[in-house]
Amino acid sequence: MQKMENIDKDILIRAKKGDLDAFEYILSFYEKAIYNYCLRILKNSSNAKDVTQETFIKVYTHRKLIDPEKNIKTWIFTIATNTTYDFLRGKKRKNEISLDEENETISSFEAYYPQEGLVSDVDRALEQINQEYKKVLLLFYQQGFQYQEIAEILNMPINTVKTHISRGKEQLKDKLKDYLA
Amino acid sequence: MEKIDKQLNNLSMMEIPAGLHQSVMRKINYYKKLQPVFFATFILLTLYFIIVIWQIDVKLINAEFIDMMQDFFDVFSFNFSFINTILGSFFEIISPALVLSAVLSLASTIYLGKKINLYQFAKF
Repeated sequence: MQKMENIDKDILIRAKKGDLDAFEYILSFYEKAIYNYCLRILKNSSNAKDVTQETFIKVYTHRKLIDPEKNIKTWIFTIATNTTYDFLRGKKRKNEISLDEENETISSFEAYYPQEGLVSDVDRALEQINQEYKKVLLLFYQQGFQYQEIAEILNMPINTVKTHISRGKEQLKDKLKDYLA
Repeated sequence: MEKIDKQLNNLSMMEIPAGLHQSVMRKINYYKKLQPVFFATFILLTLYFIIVIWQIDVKLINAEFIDMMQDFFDVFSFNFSFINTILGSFFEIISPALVLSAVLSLASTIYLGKKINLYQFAKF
């Protein structure tokens, strides 16, 4: 589990007041995690970049809602999740995936998944399981969130989070059997 | 299952694309700089709208519009065609351009208020 330390309370207070240096620190701290989360869900580097940008702009414009007493990472991931949903809904409504975008998705996949090593197998298997399970697994294992935090981010009961993790792992096990055979 | 746990714990992370960080900061800087401008524009438009409305009101009072309205309601039940007369009188007193200006001011104020957000910026 990749743990990430929390940001200092003073920085959060400064960011809440609109201090750009403090905001930039928060951006530097979480941009990689957010980008990777969006990339895993959207499977397209350009879209993931756009959604990451939008997420942090929302963080800035809604900075008054920052609670220095709470873990800001959960809040930022909640915004990222909602922004990703909005983006996917918008895409679905417009039903537009250009040829360039499709090609970019494919090339991103190839760059995204190294051809060798066990890690690439997990990456590929993750794409084949239920996407809801994938999201929960990513938040739990890749981002190091607790059950309660995931429940908050994805707006679902904590027991559902536990079930999704368990079922996701079962599905992964099945998929990995094929790869390892 | 333990093996899967181990693999999941070592999921690969991609590096962020070049320029992402700078792009976010640039947009936020624009936002911070333009926010007072948008605010001032909104205030000016609102003031302009209020002034236009006030001027219309003054002119209407001078033209004894209230009496005209009273007449209008009295006559309306007997003569529907009076509507045309009163409408004609209204636009003789108040220039249609002034009315249009007030309506456009209100519309543009509401429109700007709704559209003042970051998505109006060009993508970099």
